[in-house]
Amino acid sequence: MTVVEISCVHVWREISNYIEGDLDPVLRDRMAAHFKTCAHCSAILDGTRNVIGLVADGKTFDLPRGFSERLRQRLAQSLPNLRKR
Amino acid sequence: MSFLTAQQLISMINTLDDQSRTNLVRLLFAGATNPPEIRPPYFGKASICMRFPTAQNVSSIWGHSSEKGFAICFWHDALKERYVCEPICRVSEVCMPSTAQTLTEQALIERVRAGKSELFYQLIEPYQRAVFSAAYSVLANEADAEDVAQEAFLKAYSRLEQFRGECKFSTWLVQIAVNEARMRRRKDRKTLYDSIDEGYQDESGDYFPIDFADWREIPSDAVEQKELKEALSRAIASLKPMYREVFILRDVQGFNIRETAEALGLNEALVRTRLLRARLQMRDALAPGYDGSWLSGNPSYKKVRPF
Repeated sequence: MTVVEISCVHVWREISNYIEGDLDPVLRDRMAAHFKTCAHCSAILDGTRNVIGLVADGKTFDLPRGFSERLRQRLAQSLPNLRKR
Repeated sequence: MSFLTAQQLISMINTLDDQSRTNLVRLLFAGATNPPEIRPPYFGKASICMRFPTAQNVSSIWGHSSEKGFAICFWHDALKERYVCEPICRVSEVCMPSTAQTLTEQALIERVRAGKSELFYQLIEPYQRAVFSAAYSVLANEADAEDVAQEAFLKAYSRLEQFRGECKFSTWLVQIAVNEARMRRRKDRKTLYDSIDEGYQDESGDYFPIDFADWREIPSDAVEQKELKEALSRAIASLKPMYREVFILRDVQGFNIRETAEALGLNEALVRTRLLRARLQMRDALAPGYDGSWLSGNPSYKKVRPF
């Protein structure tokens, strides 16, 4: 099967959907073929996935220290009053 | 024989292609009415090897469940050894996790509605991070985000009667947090964000990456490093609010596209457009550190430009 070539700009436009696995098979194959031959786009793909992998790790966004305790206190103070309304 | 943690297991499952993963989940959760959702694989080969060094040599993977729990086994090509991770949890916990969770949550909602306000914290406890992150995604300030998160929970309590279950409870909470945060942003005249951030006009243009450096693999414990954490936070804070909102909900919190759209009051196409921009900008913002200069202590980073 012949895969039609695709430009770098077109690849960048769809790279996020490519990572999502959310493209029609023809376009996905074109992009996959492009990544095999284009070092720049391949670097962008790897880097973007790397960013997503790092932020999805769960360690990046810790709750501020004492967050839960302060929330509990606030709820304990406020909820009885809210119910009275 | 070696044993894996649940986190390593999920990382490993993420390395499989769609069909293998589907087969594995089917096999593991045979008979379960609500098998757990395993998110699509996200990580590139480099990232996989970083997170789970043995995955690159795994040629076959299978699982079995028993009264003891369920286990995942795989064959390691290089070591010619069978690896087993077990038990992840008991079968009774595995079989219907989502149903059990929904019932508990629904029961809690009913009880809080009936006046047991002391159960409210238990109801919202799992969603503290999601609500805080949603508020942070709008405000990019920890103290303000915490304050808004508290307000959002109080508002959720007083509006609990209005929750009809049309979306997930977590999405509903995040919607409230996003709205509260946006109101706060509008009220706070000191804020740096102006109305241009809410515009759509500039989204039709293509984003051109500014850096084409090929990232090195990042050691698995790198994310624990203060520099990296701070760099990630800085990069996220540097995004315009409209990009930061979708990025945090989709990529940090793991909402899917539809949930992100619901929580932010946007259509899915717009979420996708903004997500693309956010991801590419994040990559550009972080590229200077990921060429290895952080790890080597060499600050002389040079951008790689193809043109």
